[in-house]
Amino acid sequence: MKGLHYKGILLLLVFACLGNTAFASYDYIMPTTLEYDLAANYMIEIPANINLNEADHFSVRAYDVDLPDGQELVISLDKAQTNIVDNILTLTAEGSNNKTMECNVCVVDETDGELGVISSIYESDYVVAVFASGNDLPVKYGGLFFTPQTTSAKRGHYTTALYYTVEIKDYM
Amino acid sequence: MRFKRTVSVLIGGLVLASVLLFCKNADGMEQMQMLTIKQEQQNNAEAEDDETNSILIPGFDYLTFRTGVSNQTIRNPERNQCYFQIRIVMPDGRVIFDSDMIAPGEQISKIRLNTVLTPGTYEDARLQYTCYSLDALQLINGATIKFTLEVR
Repeated sequence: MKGLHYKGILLLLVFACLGNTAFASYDYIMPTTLEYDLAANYMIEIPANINLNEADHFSVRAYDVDLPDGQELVISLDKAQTNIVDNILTLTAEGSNNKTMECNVCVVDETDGELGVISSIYESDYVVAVFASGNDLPVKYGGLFFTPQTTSAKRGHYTTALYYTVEIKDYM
Repeated sequence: MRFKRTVSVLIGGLVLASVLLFCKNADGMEQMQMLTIKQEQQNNAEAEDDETNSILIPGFDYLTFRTGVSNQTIRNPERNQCYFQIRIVMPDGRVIFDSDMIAPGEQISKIRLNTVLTPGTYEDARLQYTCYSLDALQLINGATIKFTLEVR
């Protein structure tokens, strides 16, 4: 009787395990997530603002430039949105639309990482810097140089915003 | 006896002088270290100023839209000290998308156009970044990215 009792319990245990085994195979399905980060083709770096009392030039940079063969990244000054005519940038005094100050703008050559030859931005057709794939340094120009014309300007705090256009072009 | 006393005084004096000299040098070294630290801090502050005074802007050569939606992520890099406000403009000047202000470290993950476009490829569409300072929401320098817009 005892033997039957134990056999019975054993049988129950076996069936219970089988049942669990059967349920375990459908127990849990790992959720899967698919992600694909559509990364930017490039990243440009422009100055947020420039204090011409402290600095007379700044650089424009591009990183992780990944372009098709035969193309380059061209960063220009946006003439439509920037207050510039030829190579003269106009700054306006805060709190006044009439008080203005002019500033000559030139491009600088930073292709070897150092400040170099300067020419008027008008002569460069407002191109500030040109970058090729895989290079952090520009292949042409690289930044802007400013010469404020302070002789006729009145005392005040003058500001303006610079807007850039960035486009991918065939090799210039 | 007197000789011993004199020698003791001399030795004591030498020891005292050595101690004083050591303290002065230590103080001087400490001052030099403070100057060095200050210079390093200043250099670090200048480096930080350079970093925070520039804006990183992501650029794209192509954006593809299906049924008026693109899954392209546009992120305002965490390092930036400005908000982005992004606008997409067609080559003919139509504005087809305007974003809310995007804080540094935040992004838009889905671009949903405000108009239905005919399927095709539109070159010279523009992605305009208008940047505002974090503190006073003052307009600062910005950029326009020209790209090819593809509608499927």
